Amino acid sequence: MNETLNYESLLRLLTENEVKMIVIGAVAMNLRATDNVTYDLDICFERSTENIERLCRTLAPHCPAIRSAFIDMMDFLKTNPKGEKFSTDFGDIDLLGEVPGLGDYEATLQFSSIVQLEDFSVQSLTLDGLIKAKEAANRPKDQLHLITLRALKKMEDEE
Amino acid sequence: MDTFTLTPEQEEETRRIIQTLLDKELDPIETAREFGVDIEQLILLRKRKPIERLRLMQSMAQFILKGRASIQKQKERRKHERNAQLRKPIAPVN
Repeated sequence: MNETLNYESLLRLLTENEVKMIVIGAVAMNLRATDNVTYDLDICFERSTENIERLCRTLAPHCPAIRSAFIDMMDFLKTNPKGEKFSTDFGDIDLLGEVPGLGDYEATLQFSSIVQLEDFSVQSLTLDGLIKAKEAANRPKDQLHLITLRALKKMEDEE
Repeated sequence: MDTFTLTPEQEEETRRIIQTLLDKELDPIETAREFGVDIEQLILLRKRKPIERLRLMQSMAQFILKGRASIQKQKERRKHERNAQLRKPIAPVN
């Protein structure tokens, strides 16, 4: 596991390089106000050749695995929607082409909204999207997350 | 890691117990409270900006990772010292 961690820098880097992606997983939960801690950033990326190239070019200087096998990694990401975890200078990143329960980037986009992070913004799963994804995954840890997410959804609805 | 390791049987049992409660369609806030979720903490977190929440989590994760790395280093050092001790020649009796 990578000992350095800076999700903010990683998200900024991806945003500045116009990578089409949606923040999913525990970081998305955190952006929607859960109190969990995570050690990697999960994103769902758009699987067009241009976007995968942009994604790989953005990460390559900070990620030895992509830098050393650029073409292979691009091919891998194109053909493997379940994605892969990579170590970067800013922490581990999980690159997924599809989100279980939601689908590919276009489908997942319907369950996301823009979250403003100081001077940049990211597309991130909404509470509804997170709930749907957690219901689909349904491991005990997802069920526990579901409990918190449903409570937050109730708070949001009551506002 | 925010995961925990369970045997497949334990995982199934845990899933069954939680699912029973999830299926009851109780008030989600009360259900969460029953499971030990700190609702007041969630209310406070909701008042913070997303970037503040992200930075808070980031610093907690860094703190935990540094702690883990330090424990690992201590373990390695002790192991090394123990091995060095074992490699010391033993003086022959008489």
